[in-house]
Amino acid sequence: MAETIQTIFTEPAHTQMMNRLWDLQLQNGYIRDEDITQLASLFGLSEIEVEGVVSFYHFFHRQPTGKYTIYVNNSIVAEHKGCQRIIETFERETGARLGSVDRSGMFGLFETPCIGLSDQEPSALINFYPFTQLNAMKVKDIVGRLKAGVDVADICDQPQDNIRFTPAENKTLFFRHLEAGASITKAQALSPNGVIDALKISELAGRGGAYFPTWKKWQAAKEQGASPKFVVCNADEGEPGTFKDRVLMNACPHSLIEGMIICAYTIGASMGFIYLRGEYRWLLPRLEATLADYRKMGLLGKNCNRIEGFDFDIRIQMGAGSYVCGEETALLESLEGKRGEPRTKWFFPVEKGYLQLPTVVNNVETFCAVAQILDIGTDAYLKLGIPGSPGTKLISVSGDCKLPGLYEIEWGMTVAELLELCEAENPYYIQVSGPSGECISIKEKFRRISMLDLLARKDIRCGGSFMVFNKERDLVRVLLNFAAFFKQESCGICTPCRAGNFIIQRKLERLDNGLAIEEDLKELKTWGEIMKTTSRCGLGKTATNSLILAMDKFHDYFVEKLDKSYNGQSMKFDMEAATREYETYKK
Amino acid sequence: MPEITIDGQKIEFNQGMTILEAARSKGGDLVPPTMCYYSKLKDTGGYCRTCIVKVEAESVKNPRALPKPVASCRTLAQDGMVVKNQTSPEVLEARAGVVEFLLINHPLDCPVCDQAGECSLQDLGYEHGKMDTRYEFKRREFEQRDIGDKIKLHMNRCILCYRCVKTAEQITDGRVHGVCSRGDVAEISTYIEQAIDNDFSGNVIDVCPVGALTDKTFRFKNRVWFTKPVDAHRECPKCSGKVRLWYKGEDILRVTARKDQYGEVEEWICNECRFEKKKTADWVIEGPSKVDKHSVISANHYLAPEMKNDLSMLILNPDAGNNPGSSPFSKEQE
Ligand SMILES: Cc1cc2nc3c(=O)[nH]c(=O)nc-3n(C[C@H](O)[C@H](O)[C@H](O)COP(=O)(O)O)c2cc1C
Ligand code: SF4
Ligand code: SF4
Ligand code: SF4
Ligand code: FES
Repeated sequence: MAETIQTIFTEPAHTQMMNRLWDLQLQNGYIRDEDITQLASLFGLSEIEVEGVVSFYHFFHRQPTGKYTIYVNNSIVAEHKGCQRIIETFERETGARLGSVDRSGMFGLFETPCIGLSDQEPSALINFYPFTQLNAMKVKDIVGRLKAGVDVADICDQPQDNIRFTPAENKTLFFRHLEAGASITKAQALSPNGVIDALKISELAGRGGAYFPTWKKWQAAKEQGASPKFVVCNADEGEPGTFKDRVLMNACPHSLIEGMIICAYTIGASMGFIYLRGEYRWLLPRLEATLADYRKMGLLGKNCNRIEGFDFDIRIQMGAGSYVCGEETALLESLEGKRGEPRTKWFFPVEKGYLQLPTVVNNVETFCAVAQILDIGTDAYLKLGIPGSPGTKLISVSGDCKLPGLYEIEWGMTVAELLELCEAENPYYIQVSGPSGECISIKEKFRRISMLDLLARKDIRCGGSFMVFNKERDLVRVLLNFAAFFKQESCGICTPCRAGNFIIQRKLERLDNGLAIEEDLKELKTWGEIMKTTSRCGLGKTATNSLILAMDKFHDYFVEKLDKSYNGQSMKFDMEAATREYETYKK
Repeated sequence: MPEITIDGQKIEFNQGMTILEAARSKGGDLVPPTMCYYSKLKDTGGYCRTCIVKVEAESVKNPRALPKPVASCRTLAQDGMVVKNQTSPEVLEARAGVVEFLLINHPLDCPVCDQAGECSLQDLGYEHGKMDTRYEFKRREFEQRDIGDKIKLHMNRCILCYRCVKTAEQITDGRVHGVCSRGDVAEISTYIEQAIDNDFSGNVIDVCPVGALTDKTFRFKNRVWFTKPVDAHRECPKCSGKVRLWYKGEDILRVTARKDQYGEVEEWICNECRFEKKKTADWVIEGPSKVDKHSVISANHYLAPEMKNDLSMLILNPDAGNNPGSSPFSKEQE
């Protein structure tokens, strides 16, 4: 059987834009003027459109980024683990200032939001190879070796999976052994309708965060008349603090691929995509190798698993640094080689998705769960978890705990139990489901983690990220880090999110500097609420979730931060703001 | 025929219409304001969020309320849908918030802005009591740019509604959209500069809801409400030749397309009609234009409260005073 990808459907040329840009970026360290001209004529676009795409993704540059391009993660967990010192050490050792390239053109030093290694911070990517658990010594050593001409690939780290916990008595769903092709054969025995029924019985809901019932999505796609149809795996995992998909793709990429094949079989799709975030480029060889294995075994390509007429193959599309591309319609735009701007919801992707054709988009964990559920059968699956919320869930634990890493828990575990398992250190508040999720106080530790009771807020549904913070951590700094993240990642096409994230960051800076007054808190809340109600996509709708919740739950803390000397008339002079403007003015 | 209820009024509509289109087919106060949607262009809307409405019931089949307001320009009307616009305090509050967001980073230099008096943002700002919004942080600053010799781009005032982009892509020969960067630094200037270079480029001035794209041949000559609009036409080989002439005394100060009650162009006009034909003899005069609410109300709002701003403008920007016609003071002396 063929090892290379089978052409079952020919995609229009311009869908290759991102790949071409990646080639050029890696080859030359930046996209040159002549590249823009060439790509424009290659794809029949105007140059400014190509520019538009390039400037949307922060891993694409129009200026040289050095022979070694260093991205240090600046997420909140990294901040707490000392990324600032790492950046300073890199600056000293390489001679490059943050955001630029050193004089010799050897090193470029940049910041980037969460790279999915929160369990081994501080971390960085150099030429997209991972380096974890950095300290000043290690940085010195790395830079020294690079200067001596050692290959990055030879000295990079192999990130640990850190699977810390799976349910007792071998009840793991995700990390059990799965015989190659086994789940596909079971799907075939069930027939497409049987697969949908099985998913319905298992109550599997999307693990990318929205928890949409998987069977409904597949059913809708199956019913579409248009063809060809597509299966897309959302491996953009951009929510800071989340790394469950990284572990899945490293530890069991085959179950992901089987899940996708089952989906294709069920809905009648002819091509699949794994949209892999740029930060996970280092996982590419492993995924490609697994795909090649599956082709060799006849499980991908023509007549997959010897099912007559079932032709299906998968290609991997690299993202290039944009959180909003995790939003499924933005992802589809990006897959088409465009700017990753979320579409308005005229149609669901199952109706008009990739190239306006029916497309199922599911998260990595969702596909892995499908393969395993079919393999163990729904009866066994329903025994896991609690009634109404069956099964297990992968949770990426990071922050102030002794055992950061991946936890596979049965739904129904309490926050307190999880805190104990990870040996949390003096936990005070916990950020559940990442910055766009919910922040909870230690007082709420008896809440269960499940898919139930969302409205009453009794249980809590976790999207995958669980960041623990101790009492010493400054809540306002945490929120400020989140605000900076959302501002940076907003695609900017709708007003509330574009302007709102910007102004919220500014207000929080003021609060952080002890210059805010009562009025500012009110404004923060009003603005936050307006962003939630009026933004176009999930990014803007959720960006202020935590802020608003935190202001309620930790009200005293915010009041404590206010400018006490304010007498109702003259505000303190904001030196930092004033000089910042001077800084920008100088540029 | 399917029926939708907006602010208590029942409206029959054709399948495939949006809530906004259904509302416009009825007209009046129940029509949500728009800053980015443009019925004469394909695929606009969804950006500015001023047209949001509350859906109290989605359809006959599915009579549940939607949890969050939706953009009426981008949401299909459905049979049995119940929508609240003016009658929902929640909508009005959220819209006021959106207006406030639009004004963040907006320079509010109405006293020296050509658009004043026919600016959708100014109108919205007054309607929602946000025109005195105090924004204490530094605003984005862009250089003013010339687009050819007839159009001025004032990026500071741009609200990123994408109308000009869609215009360039749909009625000129330019191609699909080319916005650069993302987030609050997103900008379109380079794109417009490159994309607009043909006989119909001047239309971007008319579609721009604010004073970001203006007619250089008109700049600072006069305030809109001191000019008198007259409809006229001419035989034009390139376009319909149906225009609106803006007179001051005997002089034609500028030529624009005719606009409907929503401030949208009725028919596109070519650059020759717009920029070259400024003599009464060039035109067949039809009579005074009926200019709808928009342009007129802002003139009333405008004069009084802006006076003090003008003073500060004069102090901050000494040039403004020397520039004839740049403030209502000099205007009134004319
Ligand atoms: C701003 C934003 C970012 C998102 N990022 C991701 C992501 O990184 N991975 C993911 O699977 N889903 C992400 N989603 C959710 C997707 O839009 C979509 O719901 C999901 O991929 C569907 O798959 P599921 O049903 O299997 O969860 C994101 C949504 C938003 C609004
Ligand atoms: S909410 Fe933010 S990310 Fe989403 S469309 Fe609007 S600007 Fe873009
Ligand atoms: S664009 Fe409108 S709101 Fe802005 S300065 Fe000009 S008239 Fe005023
Ligand atoms: S220049 Fe005017 S028309 Fe163009 S995007 Fe900006 S505000 Fe809209
Ligand atoms: S007019 Fe509907 S979002 Fe702008």
